[in-house]
Amino acid sequence: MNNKDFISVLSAKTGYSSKEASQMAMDIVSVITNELTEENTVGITGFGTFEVKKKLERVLVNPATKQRMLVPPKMVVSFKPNTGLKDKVNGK
Amino acid sequence: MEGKVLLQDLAQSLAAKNGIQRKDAETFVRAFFETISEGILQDKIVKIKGFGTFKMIDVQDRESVNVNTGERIIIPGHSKISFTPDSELKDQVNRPFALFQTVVINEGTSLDDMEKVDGVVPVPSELPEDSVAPIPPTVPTIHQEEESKVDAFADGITDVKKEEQIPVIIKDEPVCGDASFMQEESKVQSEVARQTTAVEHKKHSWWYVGPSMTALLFALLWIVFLTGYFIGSNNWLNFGNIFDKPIQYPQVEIDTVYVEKMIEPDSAYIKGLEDSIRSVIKQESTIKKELPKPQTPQVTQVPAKPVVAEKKSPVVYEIVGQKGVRTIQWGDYLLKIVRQEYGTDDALRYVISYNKFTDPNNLPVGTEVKLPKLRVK
Repeated sequence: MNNKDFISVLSAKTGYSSKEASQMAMDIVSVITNELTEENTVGITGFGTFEVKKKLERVLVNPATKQRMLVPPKMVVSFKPNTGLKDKVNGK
Repeated sequence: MEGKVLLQDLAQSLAAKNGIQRKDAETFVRAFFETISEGILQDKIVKIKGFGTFKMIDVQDRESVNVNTGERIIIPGHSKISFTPDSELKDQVNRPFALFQTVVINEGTSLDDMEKVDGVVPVPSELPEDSVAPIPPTVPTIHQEEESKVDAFADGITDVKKEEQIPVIIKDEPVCGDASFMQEESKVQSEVARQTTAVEHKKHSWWYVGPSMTALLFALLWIVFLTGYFIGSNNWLNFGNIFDKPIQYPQVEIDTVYVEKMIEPDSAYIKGLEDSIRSVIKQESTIKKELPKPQTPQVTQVPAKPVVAEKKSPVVYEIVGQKGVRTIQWGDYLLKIVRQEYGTDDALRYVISYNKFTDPNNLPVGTEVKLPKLRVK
């Protein structure tokens, strides 16, 4: 399911036109992005939690060339599905 | 910061943005996430522009061990949801660290500091360096601590310097065994350590220890002096004062280096040919002023005599005619030519005097060097 399919399903479900639905979906995404940028956790009941995790810098070695690289620290978005969603996925 | 945002908050923001009812917005957000979960179940993959990709991944059965009981268990296969953020979201979130880039580490780069930060190597074990003698491992650290503290005190510095000087003396004086010195040193150290542990204020303890340690050091210096004097009295009659020696030694090294650099052979320098020696000594004394001077004032009074005494006596030649001529090439120097022609450095001064070189250290390319025939006297 790509973005286009997603929007069409969403618009059918909510009764908005696909243009409106697309616009509002983008708004939701931007709101979530902003919240995550401020290191807030976004928890959606029945779906899951989005949070930002800090990754420490680390050294990795290219096994082929034995070259060592220093990977800088970074912030990563992680998603943890809810138990409800997990169960759904597993067909329970 | 670090707060939790719920669906209702998202709905509120959405409502404010689009000018719709809060209730409608909430319904929409709910529908948004519902659609995602339905999509995951249906197509196993949902892509949302600017946000990311949700995927359902099947995990196969695998065997594992119960950590508590040690029992082998089989974790049944299941599906899990993975979320890969879009590059847009990724970059946005990682903006504070965006300027960092992955770097290739050169070989030999030490990562000890990093490991310390990670907590992998919490306690560096540097003690073996200091392990002088049967001192318990805690003692050197105390001593070190104190030393660093002493460094902070301006007045204490002289004492520390004395301590530093001793190893130099010992190196120069092979007669006086290192082991005995080490024992002495360890005694001093342990004594210091004992006193530091005994007295609460380390600063005070240092001041009480200071004089006694200085006395010990002086005693050590005297032992070095006496042994050196008695054992070396046969060979080193020229020794006026043993204190000159350790300080003299590095200087002599520098002198020879200097002399070699200036194409003046050390043998000629050592043996005689009074004129050239004097000129060299003159140059030396000018250089000595540039050299970092040790503290003892007697240094300049004894220029190079100990070395003169230590070298074996040279072979004496006389000049009987001329055997040839060499022209100085690029990269040649007089000592090199002499070594090639005569096989000994002793001949150099004869060559210099035979050619009447006023400045043998600086012969231009193309200069003809007359080679005298030498005969052992």
